[in-house]
Amino acid sequence: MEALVSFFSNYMLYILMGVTILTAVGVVYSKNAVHSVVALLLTMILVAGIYLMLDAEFIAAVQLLVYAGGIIVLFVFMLLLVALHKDEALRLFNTYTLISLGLVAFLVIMLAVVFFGTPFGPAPATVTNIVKGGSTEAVAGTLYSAYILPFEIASILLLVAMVGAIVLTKERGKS
Amino acid sequence: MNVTVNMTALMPLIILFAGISLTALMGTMKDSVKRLAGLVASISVVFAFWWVMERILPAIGTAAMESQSGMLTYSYYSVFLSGIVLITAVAAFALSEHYLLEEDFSHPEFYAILLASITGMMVMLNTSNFVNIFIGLELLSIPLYASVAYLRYKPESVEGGLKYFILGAIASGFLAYGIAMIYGASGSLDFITIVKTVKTDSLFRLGLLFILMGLAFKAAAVPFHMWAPDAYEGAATPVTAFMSIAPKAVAIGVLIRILYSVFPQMVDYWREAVLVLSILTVIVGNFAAIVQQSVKRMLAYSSISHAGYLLMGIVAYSVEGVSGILFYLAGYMLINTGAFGVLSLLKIGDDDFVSYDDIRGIGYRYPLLGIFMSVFMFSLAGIPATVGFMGKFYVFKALIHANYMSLALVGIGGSLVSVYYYLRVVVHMYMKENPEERKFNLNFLSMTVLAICSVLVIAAGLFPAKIADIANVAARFMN
Amino acid sequence: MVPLIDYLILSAVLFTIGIIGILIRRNIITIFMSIEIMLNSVNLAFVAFSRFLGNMDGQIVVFFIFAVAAAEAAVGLALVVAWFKLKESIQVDDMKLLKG
Repeated sequence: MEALVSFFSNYMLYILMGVTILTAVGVVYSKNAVHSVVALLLTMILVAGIYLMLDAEFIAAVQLLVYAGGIIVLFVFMLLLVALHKDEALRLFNTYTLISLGLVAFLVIMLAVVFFGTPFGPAPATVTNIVKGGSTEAVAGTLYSAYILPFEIASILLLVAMVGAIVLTKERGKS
Repeated sequence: MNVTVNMTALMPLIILFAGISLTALMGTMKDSVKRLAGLVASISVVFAFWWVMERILPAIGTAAMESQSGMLTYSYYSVFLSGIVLITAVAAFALSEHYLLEEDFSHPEFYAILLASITGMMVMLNTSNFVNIFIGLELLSIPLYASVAYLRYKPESVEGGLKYFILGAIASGFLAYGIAMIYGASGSLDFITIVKTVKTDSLFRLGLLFILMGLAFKAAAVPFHMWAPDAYEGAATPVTAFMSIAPKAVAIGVLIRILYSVFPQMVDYWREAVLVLSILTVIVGNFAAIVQQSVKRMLAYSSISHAGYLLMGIVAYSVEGVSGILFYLAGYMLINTGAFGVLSLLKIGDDDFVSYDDIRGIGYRYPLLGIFMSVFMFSLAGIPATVGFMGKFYVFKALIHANYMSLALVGIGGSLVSVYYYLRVVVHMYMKENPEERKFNLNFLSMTVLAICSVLVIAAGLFPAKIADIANVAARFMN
Repeated sequence: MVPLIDYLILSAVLFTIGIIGILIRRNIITIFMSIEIMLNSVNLAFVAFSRFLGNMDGQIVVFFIFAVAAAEAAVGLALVVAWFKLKESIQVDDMKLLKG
C-alpha cells in the first residue's frame, strides 16, 4: 500500500502531465475540428486530475462542470451549426509560421529560464485554512468574504455575455 | 474574516448595474418604451457621475476612500479618470441616438452592453487588487467585442469584432499569466502587500512584462495595435468614438498606477520597455495614418499615435508627467468625441460617407459642420490655442525636465508629420468641389454635443490653468 | 511531493501550445480552442502557486477565470455564427476586407 501511494504521488503525475501535453498538441495539430474538440475535452479532464493532485478539489470539480459540461458542449454545438466537415490544410512551412514559431520558442525558453532561475521553497505539508473535507470550505470562506465584490462583478459579466450574444442575433428594422 | 463594506463606494457600480438591467429589460417591451433606452442609460451614467463627484470626492483626502480592504479604492487620480470615462459615455450615447435611428437598427441592448463596459472600466480604475483589474478588464472588453460587431449585417463590422475578440483574448491570457507570476513571486494579489514584497527577481520582471503587454494591447500601442484599425473602422461611429477614448484612458491610467505605485523599485526596467513601445507607437501610428484613404481609418491610426504620446508621458516618471497625461486625456476626450461625432453625422441610411473623396465640399454645404471639424483637426494636430497643443506641451515639458530631450524630439517630430494628414481633411472639406450633392440629416442632439466639444476645445486651449490644476492634484494623490 | 517547478513547466508548455495553435490554425473555432488551452495553463500556474504558497487567493482567481472563459466562449461563438451567416466560412484567411 505504502509503495503504491508513493508510486502514485511520484510517477502517476508525470504520466498525467505527459498525456496532457499530448492531448493539447492534438487540439492544435488535428486537421479535423471535431477531433480537436475531443482532444480539448481530454485535456480539460486531465488538467482537472492535476488540480486534484494539488489538493484543489473544488477547482477540479468546477473545471469538469464548466469546461467539460459547458464550454465543450458550446463548441460541439457550434461545429454542428457551421457544419464543418472539411479537413483543413495546416500552414506549417511558410515564412510567417516560421517567424512566429521562432517567437514562440523564444517565449518558452524565456519562461523556462525564469522558472528555473527562481528559488521556490518546498510545499507546505498541509495547506493552511484547510481543516478537513478538502479545500472547498477554504475556497468558500475566502470567496464569499474578501472576494465578494469580484464575485458580483463576475455575475454581471455572465449576464452581459448573454445579452451580448443576444444582440448579435437581433432582427433589423423592428424598432 | 471580517470585511467592511462601504455602501457609498459601492453605489456607482450599483447605479450602473441598475442601468444595465433596465435597458436590457426594455428590449422586451413596447416600441414606445424601447425608444427611451438611450435616455435611461444616459441618466444612470449621469447619476453615477453625480454620485462620484458629490458623495465620493468630498470623502477622499490625502488617503484614498476604501471599501472591502482595497477591493474598491477611490483616489483623486482614479476619480479624475472615472470622470473622463463617464463623460465620454454620455457623449457616445447622445451620438448613438441619431446614428442608430439612421441605420434603422436601434435596440435597447446596445446601451446595456455599453453600460456594462463602463462598469468594467469603473471597476478597473477604482481598485487596488489584481483580481479586480483582471475581471474589470474582461467586463470592459467582452461587451466591447459585441458592440463592435453590433451592425451584424455588415461584414466589416463583424470582422472587426472578431479580430478584436481573438487578439483581445490572447492579450487577456498574457495579462492573467503575468498576474499569476506576480502572485507566485509575492504571494498576494493586493497592491499594498505586493509593494512591500517587491524585489527585482526575474519572476517579477517577466510577470510585469506580461502585464504590460496585456494593457498595451488595450491602449492599442504598437506592436499590439493590429486589431485597432479594423475594429475602429468596422464599428458604428459613436462606438468608435467611445472605444478610441475610454478604454485607452483606462488602460493608460491603470498602467501608470501599476508601474508607479506597485513597481517603483523596478523603474529602470519598465522604463526601457515603455520607451521602446512609445517610440514605435508614435512612428507607426503617424506614418500609417498618412496613407489612409478613409478619414475614419485615418483617425483610427491617429488614435494609435496619440497612445504613443501618452506612453511617452509615462517614461518621464514624475508627477508633472502624470498630470500632463491626465490633461492630455481630458483634452483628447473632447477632441475625439467631436471628430468622430462629425463623422457619425455623415450618414445616409446604411452608408457612411467618411472617405476623403466623400467629405469634399462639406465645409461649404454645411458651414457649421465644417467649422467644428476644422477645430477638431487643428486641435489633434496640436495647433496652438487649442487643447491638443496644451496637452502635448505639458507632456513634452515633463519629458524635457526628466532629461528625455531626444524622446521629446521624436514626439514633436511625430506631431509635425501629423499636421499633414489632419490638414488634408480640412483642405478636402474646403478646397475641392464635390460633384455629388448629398443631403445629410444634421441631428440637433448630435450638433449640440459637437458645439459643446468645440467650444470647450478652444476654451481649454486658451485657459488651460483650471484643468491643469485639477490634473495636478489628481496626479499627486494616486493612492 | 512533486516540486513546484514541474507544474510551472507544464503550464509554460501548455501556454506555448495555445499560442502555436492561434498562430498556425486558420479555423476560427480551433483558434478559440487554443485560447481555452492558454487560459487553462494560466489556471494551472495559479493553482500550483496557491498550493505552494499555502494561501487560497490563487484558487479564487482560477474561479474567476472560469467565469471569464465561459463568457468569452459565449460571445466568441455568437460572433462566429454572425460571421458564418454572412460569409459561409469560418476561415481567418477570408478576412481580407479591411487589410492595409
